[in-house]
Amino acid sequence: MMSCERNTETEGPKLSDIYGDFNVLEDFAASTSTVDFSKGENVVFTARFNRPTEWEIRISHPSGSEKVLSGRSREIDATTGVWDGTTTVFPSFSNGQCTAELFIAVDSSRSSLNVEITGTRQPDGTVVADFDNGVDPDWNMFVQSGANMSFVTRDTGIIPQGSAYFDLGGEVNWDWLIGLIDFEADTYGPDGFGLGQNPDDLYFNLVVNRPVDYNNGIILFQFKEDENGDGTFTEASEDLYAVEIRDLDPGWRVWSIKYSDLVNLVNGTPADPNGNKQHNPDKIHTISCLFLANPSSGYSQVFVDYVAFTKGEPLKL
Amino acid sequence: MQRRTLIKIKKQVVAVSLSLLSITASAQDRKVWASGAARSIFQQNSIQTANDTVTPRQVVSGHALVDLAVNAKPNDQTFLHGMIRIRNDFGGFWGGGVTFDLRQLYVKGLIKNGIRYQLGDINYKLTEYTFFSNDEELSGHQVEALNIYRDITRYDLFFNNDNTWRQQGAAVDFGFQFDSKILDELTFDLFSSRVAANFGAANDRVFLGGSGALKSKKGIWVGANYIDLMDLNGTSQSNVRFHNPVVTGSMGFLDTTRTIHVGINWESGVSRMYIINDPNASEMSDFFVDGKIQLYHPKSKIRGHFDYRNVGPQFRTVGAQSKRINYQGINQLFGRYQSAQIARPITQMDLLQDVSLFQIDLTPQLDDYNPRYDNISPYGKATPNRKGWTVGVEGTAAKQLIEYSLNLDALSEVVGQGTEDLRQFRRLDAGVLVNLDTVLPKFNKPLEVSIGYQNASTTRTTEVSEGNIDLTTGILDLGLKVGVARDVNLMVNLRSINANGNELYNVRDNYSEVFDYTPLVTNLKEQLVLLAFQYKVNEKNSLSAIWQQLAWSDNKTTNQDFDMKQFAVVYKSIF
Repeated sequence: MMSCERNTETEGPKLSDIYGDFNVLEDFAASTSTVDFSKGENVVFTARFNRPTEWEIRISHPSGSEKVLSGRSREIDATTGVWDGTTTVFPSFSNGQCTAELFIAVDSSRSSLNVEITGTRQPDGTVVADFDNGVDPDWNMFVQSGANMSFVTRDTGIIPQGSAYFDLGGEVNWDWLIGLIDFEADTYGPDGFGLGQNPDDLYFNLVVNRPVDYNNGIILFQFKEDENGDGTFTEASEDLYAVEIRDLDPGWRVWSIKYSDLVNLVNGTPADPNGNKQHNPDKIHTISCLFLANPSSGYSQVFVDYVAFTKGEPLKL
Repeated sequence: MQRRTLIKIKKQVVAVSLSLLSITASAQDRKVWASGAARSIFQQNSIQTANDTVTPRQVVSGHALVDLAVNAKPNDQTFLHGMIRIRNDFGGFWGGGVTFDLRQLYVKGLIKNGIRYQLGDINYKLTEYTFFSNDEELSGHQVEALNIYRDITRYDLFFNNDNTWRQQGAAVDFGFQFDSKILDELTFDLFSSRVAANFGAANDRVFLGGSGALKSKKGIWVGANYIDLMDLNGTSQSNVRFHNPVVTGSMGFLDTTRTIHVGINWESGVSRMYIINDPNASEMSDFFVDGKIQLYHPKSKIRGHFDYRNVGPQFRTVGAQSKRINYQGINQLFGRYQSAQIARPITQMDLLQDVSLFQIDLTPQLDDYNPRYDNISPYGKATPNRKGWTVGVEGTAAKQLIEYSLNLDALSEVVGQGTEDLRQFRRLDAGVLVNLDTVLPKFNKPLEVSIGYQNASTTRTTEVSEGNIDLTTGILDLGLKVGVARDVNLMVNLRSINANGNELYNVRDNYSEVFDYTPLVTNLKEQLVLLAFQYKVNEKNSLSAIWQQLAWSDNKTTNQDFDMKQFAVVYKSIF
């Protein structure tokens, strides 16, 4: 039914609210004081103001973990103030007491409350490597005989996920390749990596840390597809898709790419794939992780953790 | 779809009009024939910005394309049309940078000599408050020189000069003629198009509607229009469904029996916009009225009109409020500039030739607009929250020597935004075309001078001083067309845009509700100078050499001033 009635109220927020004195109409609060992220629980932070304002919520844990939510709105609610256990500043959150602080830019005011984590978020996805159990003997690893080589797992310092990460480092002054690890699909079970056929719905992820002193490294991931199902990858007639990860900002971060966005690279330059020219994640035979650096650039290093595929969206950690 | 197939109550008569992009004169005797268009453009562009060490100074580009259509008429009742585009961008080897696109495909015909239909690509419109593709900003007073590029952009985007929207679907129209002294004809137009096919990710969205009109032999007619943009239930797992039904009624009267012809038109209607199963969406409903009186004096050929309209703040009609320009787009030419590589502002030069800044899809939200260019009716006559009157006169004088037009808009908001005080809108629009060739018969070539001027202002005074608004835009168009040889014309145009003042720009959420304001302060100065030589073999074939220069500045923003120059050769042909 339609009628000729008209809403004659003024549109939009009142100017007197926006340009008048700022007021908090509803204090900063959390939907719960304890949360078990392992059960899929979330924390919803709320607050309400008399006009749109810029705000930031910073949740911190004694281990150094931090999560930052921010925005500009009249209220913080279930659409803007949800914490699902993910992390902005690694390491990942562990159990224990966290402090959530709301900062409002317009009057520089702060208010805080506590939330206790009783269960940590379990990352999803198909894991290729999380390095928590060291180097898997099924992986094929090649490390050059250069200087200060370190292709080892580490369990010291900030560990973004689990109990360990992988340190790729070294100086090789005659070759770009410092070292590589091959992850072969047939060592992951009868279905290989079990990724399905849809490359548009699949994301490749890893957690990576570029140390502040070393920006000369390149991580090259190659995805070799066995399209004819003969159990081998034939470079001349089958697709190889790749991605170079370089020029990262320092610090741990999640890096993701949609599988269908991968291209064939020849010496870093896009080129036509040699196979059926279709992304077939269900046919991946080998994933190769190569760590490269210009041989004249000296020592290089990068840390890697939680290499995994996710479906539908990039990894949330 | 502008003419109708008529069925007399007593006997069947067929009157068919086929409107094609292009058709050869002798097509009626053939069953299959080709038609199409060709174009080649070569451009050299440059940009100058102070202290910019990153942006390349010059860009050379161009392309050649052919739109090749196959037309088939297997019988007298059916017409088929398919067009492909072959395009090659300069810079790649022939074949390396070639793209093939299906440009349009449709079938049209008659059923039983009484019902006309079209399936596939259709161009459709209803009224300015239901389904209408409003001209893009800065289209007024556009002289022929500027139209060289504008016509290319409009052709590529299917923006026809009749304000139809290109849709993909079906349209049917039919009518009845009465053997009566009073009633003349009853006509119906129905259409349905698929706006968004989401392949299960979200519900498919369709646009459907139509109109009916009853005309009498006394010059009176009444009609009704209905449209609805809606999501189809069951086409995905989502139970969220969007609806925007609009119903209008219209009536008119035309008396051509007197010394001054009088026409009266009235349209009013209601709209609803709502989303089922979305707890965050609130329903919007409102109404509008629009009345118009037109006067025409045949002896002097002077026309006058007086309009009144009142469009509610929550009146939503996607088919008439969707904009052609997407102001969120990035320019293709020098998209980023300054050493910081920030996005370069969209200018009048970009709006003439950059198809990436335009959109052909209907958008359910109110699109962003540029208040500097048009702050009064950015969504055409259906712009919500406007009321007031428009008066205008146009005509010719001195035996076609002078053609002139003058329009004045005096509008205000219906309800205030953030305050009870209303914005006031005023716009004066005047244009004169002097056909000097009519008084110089011996010259025997075109000689025209055109002047167009538009001054628009928005003001508001309110008790909160930050809410005071004062924005003025002046647009001046000067044009000259001189025939220098047979079929060769020199065209010169100067367009100057000055926008000065401030506004509080609405920030709307995904449901088109205002939730914030962004202060806008501007001192925009844009000056475009264009010089073109055009060899026009006939109306369908031309070769043009164009040089143009744009100077842009706005010292109230952080964007640096820049100058752009372009030299281009443009060949166009329709066959």
